[in-house]
Amino acid sequence: MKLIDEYLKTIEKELGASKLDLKSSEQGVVTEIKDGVIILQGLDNAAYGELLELDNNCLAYVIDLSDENVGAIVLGDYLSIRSGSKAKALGRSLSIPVADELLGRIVDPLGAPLDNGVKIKTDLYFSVEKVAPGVVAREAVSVPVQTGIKAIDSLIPIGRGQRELIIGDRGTGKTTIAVDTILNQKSENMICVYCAIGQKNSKVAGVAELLKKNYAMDYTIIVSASASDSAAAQYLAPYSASAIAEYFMSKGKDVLVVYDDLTKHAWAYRQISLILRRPAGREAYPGDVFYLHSRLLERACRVDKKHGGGSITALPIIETLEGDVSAYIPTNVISITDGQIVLDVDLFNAGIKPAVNVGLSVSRVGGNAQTKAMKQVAGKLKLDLAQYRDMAAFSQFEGELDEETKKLLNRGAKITQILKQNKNRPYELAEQVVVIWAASKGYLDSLPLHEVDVWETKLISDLRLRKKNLIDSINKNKILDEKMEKEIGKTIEENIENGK
Amino acid sequence: MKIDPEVKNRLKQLLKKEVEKINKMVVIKSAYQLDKNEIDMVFRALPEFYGMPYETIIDQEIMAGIIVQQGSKIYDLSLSGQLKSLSNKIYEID
Repeated sequence: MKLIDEYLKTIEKELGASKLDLKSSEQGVVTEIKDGVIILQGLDNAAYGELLELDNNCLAYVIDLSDENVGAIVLGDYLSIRSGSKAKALGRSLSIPVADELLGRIVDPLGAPLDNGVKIKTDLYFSVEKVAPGVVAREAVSVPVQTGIKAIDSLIPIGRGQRELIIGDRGTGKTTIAVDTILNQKSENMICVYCAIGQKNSKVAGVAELLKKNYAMDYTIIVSASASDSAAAQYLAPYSASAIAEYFMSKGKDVLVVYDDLTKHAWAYRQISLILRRPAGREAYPGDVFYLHSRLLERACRVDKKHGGGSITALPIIETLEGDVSAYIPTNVISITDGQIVLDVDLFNAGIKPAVNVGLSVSRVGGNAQTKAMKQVAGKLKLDLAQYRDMAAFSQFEGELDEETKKLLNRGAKITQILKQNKNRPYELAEQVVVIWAASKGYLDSLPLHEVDVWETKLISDLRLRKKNLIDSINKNKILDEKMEKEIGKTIEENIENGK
Repeated sequence: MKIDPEVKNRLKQLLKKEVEKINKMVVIKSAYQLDKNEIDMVFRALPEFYGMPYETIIDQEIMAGIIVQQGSKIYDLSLSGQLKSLSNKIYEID
């Protein structure tokens, strides 16, 4: 009984606030129902992006205005809508509730919980579609995102506020790179948003489980529109994720958003566009499929102190077929983003994981954000690897090799080996710097290839145990001076000596 | 059968005119027949419709109050509408 009394009190309070007012609204009638899309008549003054309320309390979102009709995508169960149902325009655009409570939650694109938890209680709503910050409000990217992945942090560094595409065939570890990056943000003071678009529910559950197990859900939000959700939900999911990210950015936080994946997002939009009978272009995508992604990714930014000083880093994911990065959607997104991480099936099958194709991958702005210590050791690495790639292809035909070439090949093989990394095992900055430093200085040249792995594990545990000050100092100051280099060199030599 | 484009155009214009006429009409829906006095009161409360042609419809389903509609614009001042928004509100509170 007490509970009912409480409910009645809240209802009374709510009703006390509302009064019978003389307010007109726009009304329309549903004339056609197609897969997740309804066509309405009436609604003469409806606006693009306005929300409609249908008879069965479903919401719909206006995305098409023509001479006589209005097209809207249904957010929810469209099967219970009848032809002739009335629709009322609500006079506001689609927005979702945002609050700090979102941290650790799994929500759908409308902000409703999917994890059996309580509803997000807040008075603050953020618009799902929002124009990105302008030129004046922006600042250059200057702080790195530590992904904890050696190959990326050294060769393709990402900065806070950057948009870096992760592209590759299915099963090449795209999601793994994104999730590992989230795992590494534990002590980096970053909020993460993982947006699953058209993914299997089992995969999303797996990611949530993994994040929870590693205590990463404390700073992560999952927005999910799975493969079984309507195309409308899948279309809206990344924009909702972006709105959540913008909320945390407005509080001056650095946010990382993963869009997994935008290929399926483009598919969902193609479905909606074809149902609305918009002219189809290449591969049946509508003409504005470029704008679809550019307006989303443009919302990633680093804003200056006057505007809060936060940032949104975007890691969109694109799935290719047979490694074809020159298909329609991949080229579009490549041209929008500030660089890409290309994952290769052949490398993956050869056991090089993460299967980053260093030749095709670039980061256009992250170099400025790279830490000094990493910059010092990575410069040489790039050169060595490039030479190695040239030589490796060339040496396949040549039987006899001179000493110089052999040395280069050996060095390259060792560097490739140390860039391998197990999944869900991010490296700290200092660990990365030391390992890469050793390889590029040639300490591993005399070590057999199969012993590199063991040496690496040993060195790291050794450094943690005996040289904690050194590790902490690199992690904190992010530089490597001569004294430190000498100390590291000595430790590595001892380490290799002991191993023999 | 081929339709003469001239005829088609004229029919289109005729349809447009008719639709406009219907859209201009103010429809007052009530639960019982309103008398002249009551209709006057409605127009006084909603001056934007004053002097426009109107028709009245009786619909028992709205229970009490009135619904005034012109084209796609609608003022829902009926008991059934209020009850519906109440039920929505109760549903939202948890």
